[in-house]
Amino acid sequence: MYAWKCWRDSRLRFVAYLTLVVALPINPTLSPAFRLTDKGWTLLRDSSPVFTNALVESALHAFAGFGLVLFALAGIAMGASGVGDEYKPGSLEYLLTRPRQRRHFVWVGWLVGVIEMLAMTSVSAAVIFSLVFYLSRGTALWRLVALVPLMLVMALVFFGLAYLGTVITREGKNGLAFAVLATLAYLIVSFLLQREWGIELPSFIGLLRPVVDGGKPFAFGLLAFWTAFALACPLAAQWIFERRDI
Amino acid sequence: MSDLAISTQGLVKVYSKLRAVDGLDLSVPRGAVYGFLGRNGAGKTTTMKALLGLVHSDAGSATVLGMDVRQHLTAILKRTAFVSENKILYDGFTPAELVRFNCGFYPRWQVDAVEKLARRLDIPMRQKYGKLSKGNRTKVCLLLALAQNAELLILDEPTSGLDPVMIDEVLRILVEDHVGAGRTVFFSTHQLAEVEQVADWVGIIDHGKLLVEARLDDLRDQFRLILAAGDSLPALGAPNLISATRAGRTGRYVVSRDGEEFAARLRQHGAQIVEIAPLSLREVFLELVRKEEACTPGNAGAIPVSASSLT
Repeated sequence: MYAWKCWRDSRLRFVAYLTLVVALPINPTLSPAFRLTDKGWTLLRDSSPVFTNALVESALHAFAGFGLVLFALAGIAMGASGVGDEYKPGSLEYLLTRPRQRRHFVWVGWLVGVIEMLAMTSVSAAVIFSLVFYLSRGTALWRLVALVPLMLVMALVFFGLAYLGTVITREGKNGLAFAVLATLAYLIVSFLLQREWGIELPSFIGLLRPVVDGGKPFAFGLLAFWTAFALACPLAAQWIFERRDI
Repeated sequence: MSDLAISTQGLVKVYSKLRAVDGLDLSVPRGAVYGFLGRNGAGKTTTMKALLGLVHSDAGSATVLGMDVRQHLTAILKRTAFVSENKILYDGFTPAELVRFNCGFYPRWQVDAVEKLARRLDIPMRQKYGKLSKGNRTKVCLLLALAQNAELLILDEPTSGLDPVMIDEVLRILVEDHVGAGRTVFFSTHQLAEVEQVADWVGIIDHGKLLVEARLDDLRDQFRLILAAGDSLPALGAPNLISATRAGRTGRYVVSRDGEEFAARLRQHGAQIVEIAPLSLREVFLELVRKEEACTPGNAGAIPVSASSLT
């Protein structure tokens, strides 16, 4: 039942971000297929390897580029409606007197977010995949498929940060601010460490680049790191949530 | 099976430096309608929250329906219904949707009771909860709690915001439908008339400590206020002495039983007995908790005499 409630709370945001992550990468994906003819701009359909490769590359860059920003934003926005968002209005007293352990609410809320993020990344990739296939008949899109779990992990990191933030700060908006500030702090520290001492902290670009560029070894270490981070957030939220007075 | 629906031993809850609940020993018999009384900030809500696992106690223990709150909270919550003081649910849900949300948690949920109660309490089931009046919100909270078919109802100021007609209706429902089925109601309120109307047990809490716990009938029949005058009033220690205050030459003693016997002891110590009067619940409550009030003509700077200082 709590999953239903979480879905109700987040469905508008979900639909809004789903629309964005599907719509925005379309135009850049199609850019190699646009041709100016006597009839104006038309979409070229061509199964030649050159055209297919150009289309696949543009699709990868569009998905990765827009995804990097949009899935981060979507993750933060969706995470801010997590279980900690029930502190401020005061509905937590009601929720936590339902016969379930507190961890149940933490994990159900998180799982609903995971499913929504999975839907966003998958649908966005599927739309791009379909467009590329329709225009070029190209099926060598394993790199696009491989980007889906990476994007999902990235979205879950931001989702988890905001989710944890709502529990720490006891409010949805503050959870959102927590995630944004944590991200900015991480970026600044990364930049300073890199500039001063040449130390490179784990980044999402490092995770995505081998797949987008191709020909480089897959960053399994980074994937493991970010996956662990994404899972650590709800665990930390649970730890705090279970110990806190309402 | 324990005869007590709720039992606490030395329960303590501290918020930074404030001891909201301070060594509370509470015993609520099964099947009782127990009115839990106290001033604002006395510790009523914190006690209820501790019983429901919403706050973690710092010391002592609490059992509900024979189960330890720390170890069996989920099992307790399955058999306990709660209406919170703030009556906050989900503003975007209609009462019908709240019922749908709620019923999934309870195997003993009564579908028939929802319709019956909604009609009886005149609840607009299709209007958003956030748009409802305070009274209607209270009704929705009560509906959700009652339809749970719980063995124990914990209600924190359940009738706040209701008009007198609806208060009467709610109390009637509680007594007829709920207590009639052998269940327990543990409720807090500031409306002493409500307690006198439906409760058979009362507990009075102040500064986190239980001052009195008694059957309401015993309280009416046996509690006595003894007014004594004298230049040097004796301070008598006695197990039935609940409160002793002194204002100038007059001492006020509240005893839980054997008023005449206690008065005789005072006389033996040279006191002149001015009056021995039975007490209503309201009078008992005021005698016990008004010590903290500013001086008034009726309480002319009374100095509390703690039992421990009695010689």
